[in-house]
Amino acid sequence: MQRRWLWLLVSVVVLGMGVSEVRAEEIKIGAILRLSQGASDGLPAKRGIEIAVKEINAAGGIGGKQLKVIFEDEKDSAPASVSAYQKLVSMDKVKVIIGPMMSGNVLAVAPLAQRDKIVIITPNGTSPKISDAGEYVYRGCTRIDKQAAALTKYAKESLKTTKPVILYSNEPYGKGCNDLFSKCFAELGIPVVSTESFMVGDRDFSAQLTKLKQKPFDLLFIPGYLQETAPAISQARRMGITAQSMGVFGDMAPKYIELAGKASEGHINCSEYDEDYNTPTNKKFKDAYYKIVMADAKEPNNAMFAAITYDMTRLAAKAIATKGGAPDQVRGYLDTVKDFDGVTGKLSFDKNGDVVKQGVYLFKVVKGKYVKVK
Amino acid sequence: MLLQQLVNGLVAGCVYALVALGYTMIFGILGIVNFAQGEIYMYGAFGAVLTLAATGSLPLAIAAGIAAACLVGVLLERFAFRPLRGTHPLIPLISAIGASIFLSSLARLIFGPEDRSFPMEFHPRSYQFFGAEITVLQLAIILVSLALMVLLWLFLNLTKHGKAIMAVAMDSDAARLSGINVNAAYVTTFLLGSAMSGVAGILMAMYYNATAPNMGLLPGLKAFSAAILGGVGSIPGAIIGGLVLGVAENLGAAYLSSHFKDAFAFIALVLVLIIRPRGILGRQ
Repeated sequence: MQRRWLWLLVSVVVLGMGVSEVRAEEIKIGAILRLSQGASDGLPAKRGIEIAVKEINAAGGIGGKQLKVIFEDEKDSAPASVSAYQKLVSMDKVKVIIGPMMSGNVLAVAPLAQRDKIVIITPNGTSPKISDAGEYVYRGCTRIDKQAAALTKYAKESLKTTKPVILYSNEPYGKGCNDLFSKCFAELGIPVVSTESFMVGDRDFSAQLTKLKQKPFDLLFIPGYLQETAPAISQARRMGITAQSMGVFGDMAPKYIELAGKASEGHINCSEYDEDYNTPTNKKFKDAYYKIVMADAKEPNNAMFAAITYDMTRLAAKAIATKGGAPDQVRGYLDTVKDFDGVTGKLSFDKNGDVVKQGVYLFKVVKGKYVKVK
Repeated sequence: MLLQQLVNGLVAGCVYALVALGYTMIFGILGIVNFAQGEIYMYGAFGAVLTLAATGSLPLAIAAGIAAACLVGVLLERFAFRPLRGTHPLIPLISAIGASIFLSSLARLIFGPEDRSFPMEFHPRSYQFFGAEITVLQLAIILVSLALMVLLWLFLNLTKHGKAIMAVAMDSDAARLSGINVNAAYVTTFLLGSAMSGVAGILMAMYYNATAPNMGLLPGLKAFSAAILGGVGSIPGAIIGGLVLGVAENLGAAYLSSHFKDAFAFIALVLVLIIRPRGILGRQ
């Protein structure tokens, strides 16, 4: 009796394998995104991919084959990103990987992608080191040093800043920002007056802010993730700090304004995406994205992260469609693509695999809305 | 600046102390470390934030927050700890860590991963004294925490239920023999500890204006350190431990370097434990 059940089980498994074999008429790409830790950034990135895939498949897929994306969780850790990568490459046999999202994790995965000749496209890794990580490593956002140059120049020329201070998030991203922006401010002749830092997960910034208040300053720059930067600015305002505030592109989210409330007024930050970018593609994307956001109150709302992965997924699909799925063919397409009609701009890639577009947008919060200033 | 940093430290310290009281009471009576204390704090905050957003009534929100924290605490006692009573102390510890991970993942599923702001703006009025500034909210946090600590002390020392808890903490078998309902004492302990963590969570949701599924992790860890610092099992010890920890990390950040703010809290812990291994007020 028991043996019969065993045979039944075996035949079901074998049959199941057969069925999945039949369904294999699909092209797979992988995605490594922040789906648990930092899901408020990772879920919008996932939606961007899903919107792109839905459009591509509705239009007949790639050469008649349906595009399928396998999502893995980045878990904000390099080892988790590496094992997600290995699973995608060895088990799912994906052609291209979108992700990881954080610079440190991209740098951990990059050597493996080089070895296996798998194209990876990071949507959000801003570290300059990614430029040199290898020819199979691409990136869909502007390097942090270019963001820094744009922000500091704006601070000096338009805001007439003379005494900036930095309150940074003490992890690789915030620390890198601190070094880089300090350098940029110094080069512009407005050296940073003082620097303080906080930990990821901190919600109490009173010690640092009290200390910063000891010396007069006219610009408070807070690089980090909005989970910390929003409460930090709201505490600063409550403590009577009135200096202009400035942040990096993570602050470009309705959540930032919601968390910081009135304290967000006048905040300046850079962004990769302009919602009012006037193209039919962007309008279509925006409608699809906001339909998802409006349908579920729990759905995090961040059009920028969705916009970048939307563009990168369409680029990857286009590469496979025009040149075929072999890694060097995908590379060949990405290296030569010109003025791709993306929602984050007219896209191409430079020789380091970094995206090239019109430059960095700067936004200011005015009456609870982001208004483009440059 | 010194006075201002002391005020900042006291506010943080009061919250650590409230959560530390939960740790220390549960340890005192059951001999286990409830690592899910930070999650109870988080559920308290969510209970209040969601209720306030739905009804707009602050008293109702506070009541709901405390109720949510108590419910989680009692469920923990019933399902994560009671079945393991009498086993090796490591086993409930692992169960607590598991419960902590479960509870924060569950919160992420139910409430979503994003931070929520507190759905009410507070009047930013502040009082000046000797050059330091204290906002109404900071003052309220300190006063509420102190009041709760006094109430807890009165409850434990003057009421029958409180004395029963103290008796069970001293010797549960003897307490049972003298007719004390030991299970009821356990439940009351969890209720009290959870209620205080819940209040701490609500206060912090107001003060920091951010409520998130992972908000309990760091305060939980620091409160645990505060409980050890003060002497595990000692109630005044937990209060002193919390305050010392809060002040130490703020002064360290102010006068040495904010890059190591969290480290100062733990350096203070290590120093006290080297000099006085049983904690400030711990029994031998």
